[in-house]
Amino acid sequence: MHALAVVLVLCAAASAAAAEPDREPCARRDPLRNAYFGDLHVHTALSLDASTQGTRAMPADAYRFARGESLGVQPDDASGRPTRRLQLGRPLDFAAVTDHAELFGELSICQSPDLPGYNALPCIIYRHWPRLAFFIANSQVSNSPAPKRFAFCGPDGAVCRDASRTPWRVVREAAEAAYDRTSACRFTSFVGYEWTGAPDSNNLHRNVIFASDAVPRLPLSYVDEPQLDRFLARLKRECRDERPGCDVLTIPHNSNLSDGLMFRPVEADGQPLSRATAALRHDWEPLIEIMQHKGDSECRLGPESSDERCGFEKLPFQNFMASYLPWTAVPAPEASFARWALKTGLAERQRLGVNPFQYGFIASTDTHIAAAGAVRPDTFIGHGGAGLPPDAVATGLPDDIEFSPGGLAVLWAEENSRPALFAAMRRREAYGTSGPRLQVRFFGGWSYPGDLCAQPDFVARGYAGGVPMGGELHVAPTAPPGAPAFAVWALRDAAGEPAAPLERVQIVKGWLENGAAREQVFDVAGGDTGATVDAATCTPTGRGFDDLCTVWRDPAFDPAQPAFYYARVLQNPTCRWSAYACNARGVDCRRPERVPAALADCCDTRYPTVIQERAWTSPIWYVPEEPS
Amino acid sequence: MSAALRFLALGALLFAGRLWWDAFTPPLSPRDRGPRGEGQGEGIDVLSTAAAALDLAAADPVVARRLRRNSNFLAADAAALGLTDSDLVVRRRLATRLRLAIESAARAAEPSEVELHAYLTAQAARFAVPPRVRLRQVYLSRARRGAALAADARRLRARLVDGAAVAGDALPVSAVLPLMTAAELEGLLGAPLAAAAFAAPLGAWSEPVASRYGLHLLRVAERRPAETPPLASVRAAVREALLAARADAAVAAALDELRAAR
Repeated sequence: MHALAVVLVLCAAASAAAAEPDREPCARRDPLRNAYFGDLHVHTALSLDASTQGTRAMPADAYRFARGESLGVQPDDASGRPTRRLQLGRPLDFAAVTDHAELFGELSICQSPDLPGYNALPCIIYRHWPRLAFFIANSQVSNSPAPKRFAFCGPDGAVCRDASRTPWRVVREAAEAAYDRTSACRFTSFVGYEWTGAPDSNNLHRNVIFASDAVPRLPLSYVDEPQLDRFLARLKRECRDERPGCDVLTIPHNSNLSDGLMFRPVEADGQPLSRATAALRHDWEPLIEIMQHKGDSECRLGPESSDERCGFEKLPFQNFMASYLPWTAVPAPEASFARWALKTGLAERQRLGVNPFQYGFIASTDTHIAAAGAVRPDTFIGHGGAGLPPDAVATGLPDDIEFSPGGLAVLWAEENSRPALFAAMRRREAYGTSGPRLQVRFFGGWSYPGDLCAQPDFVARGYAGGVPMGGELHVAPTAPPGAPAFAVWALRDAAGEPAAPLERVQIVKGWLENGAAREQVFDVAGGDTGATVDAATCTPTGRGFDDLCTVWRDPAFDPAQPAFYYARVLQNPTCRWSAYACNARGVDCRRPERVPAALADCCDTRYPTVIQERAWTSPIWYVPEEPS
Repeated sequence: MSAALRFLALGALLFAGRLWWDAFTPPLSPRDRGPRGEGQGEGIDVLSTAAAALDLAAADPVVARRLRRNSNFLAADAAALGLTDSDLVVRRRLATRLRLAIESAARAAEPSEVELHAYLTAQAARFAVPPRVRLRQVYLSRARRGAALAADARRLRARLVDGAAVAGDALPVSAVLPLMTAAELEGLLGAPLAAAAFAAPLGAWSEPVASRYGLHLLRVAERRPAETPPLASVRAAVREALLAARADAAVAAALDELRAAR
């Protein structure tokens, strides 16, 4: 197909996606799509675990922060004013506040003396001993295989469900107020919440993102529907089937804390996954959050993989429980990671004809202080209370050493509007970064020329000759024969600080070979730059690349083997957030006797002082069948 | 032991520890109490005193418990001794409760269409769409041109000024950029380029401008000043801002009134 024809097709698609009746059309529109940076995982005071850490910022505050305004952060001073303030150097393009829906009503009741239940024991505990309330609530609700509401919610939970109307209204009104419906289209908000299921402390959490302000009457939480596939089916019914204009998707996250539960290809009763259930997962879960505050979920360095770059922001425990009981901690199993899921998905597709784990990638923060998109490592003030009581002032690091500032979600869309961004999520034309705003294009096709990177219409030819990230390539045409080509172009962050150039682009391939899952990582552009960074001062040395572009063909392509390919872009080494924080506090690990106990983590050699920030594109799948 | 039980056991352990700590924490003696108003923000004194007068202390179990713990007397006795004035936690809590009550009352009335229009007019700058530019760019790659970059840029600019059609180097960023704010341009190509675009004259090719990728020649095709959008486009934002302003004003008015009455 000619490039011009594809542009026309994209124009038509853009028009369809932008059909939103009650707004001005966006002045900035490009059928070849722009990269929009955002955060789809943000908690505010409406989440119990944020509230018990002293967070007072509400959804409206989170959106104002995302748009570039200043945010007050706990602890508060004697008059109730926050003692810390934070502001993004660069506003986000979009965000979703995704508070835990399970205790919306309970939290509301416990904070409102005029509501029945205010004086119930759990509420008293919440107000007096918030950290204890956190543990009790998790035990009874989110971390229980059989969650149940507290007694003060009434025998059928109606009291608390009714009380959850107010916070749900607050969520929706804040999103509505933040959405830029002018022609400038500077910011898009999504109504959302988090389904917070973690049976026996093994994480199955999903963020629920709605396409518009047409949403169900109440959020469907883990306590309402604890079985994942029934939850997805019921969400579909309550949104798409019963609510005109409603559309929704769910985004799993922190598979690294699931102890292998997140991607088990089985039904609730342990039987192999059915085609219907696989289709449900495939349709409703196009994306996975690959990295955030509580670690990276891409892959594991272990017997199954020699990919050294998997050793990035790994947590030293396998689930939530082990984070509190360190003697029970073991490394997370391979099945807790997205790469395993992608490989398992290939096998499931062969078995069922549908891939339940056909995930594109995003990253986000999972901030619990409403600081959407606060990913800058040298000014990181933590995304929670670092385990401290709400009014305590941190004397050590501002966050637990194993955590990180998290990352950003990037969507390729024609314009910054709800329909366009939601459509990008649906088709998986998305990627994640660990914080820097790298721009990455990734196309797969059969006939890209070797000099595509020198063509001024690289993007148009990319669309015309194949599919973008998130797409599928089907059985190779007879002519020209050979392997598919993958065109990738990465640009370093145009404006972010601390600045770092690129080091390399890799393509990660996973495939099925005689029924066995295999993987291989290829360096396709850039390479060893010799660049380094002095961890004591965070001063970088050496050169890197401003941009990297290549067209790569799989040298071992077998048209009979299903496969996936995704690009991973690495920056030159830079300091980890903890190195900045420890340096700022004068820690010198060569003189351990002078390191205050509160800062002992600075010298814990399990955690690196230097990392390589990165981006992960959504995969492109090769399917050795005709498209259905 | 199941994971949930272990989780609960850990919680119980913390709970017991907290009770033990509380039991052995001596009550404040009068001399432990700091001077009134020390280190506290403006308004808390007035609000907490007013809240106490409204008997919010008796209605709030946290306050009552705090008073009991501090005084080893009944809450009423503690109030009679003036502890509602001197206990910082009690005063903060009372002030917060009264503040929330005032804010809630102030936000109860839905703004009318006229009020929304008036607020948008009065706060036009706050809701304005920032200035925007539409431009064309010709890019020269630092990686490809190396030491010749600056000379090549000057040469290409001269040709562009002469009206020649010149293609720059490939970059996966459009050569024709639609109306964009400074923040959007900065995100795409960096702050120096955004600043240069907003300073460049209309219709003329700029001097080379550096980004992290190389040099760019810019020609601004359109410049739009800040615009006040129609209410229909910003209704929800205006409503939320108006309600927040009403809440702030109500608290401020209450503070003034209470101060005047002291």
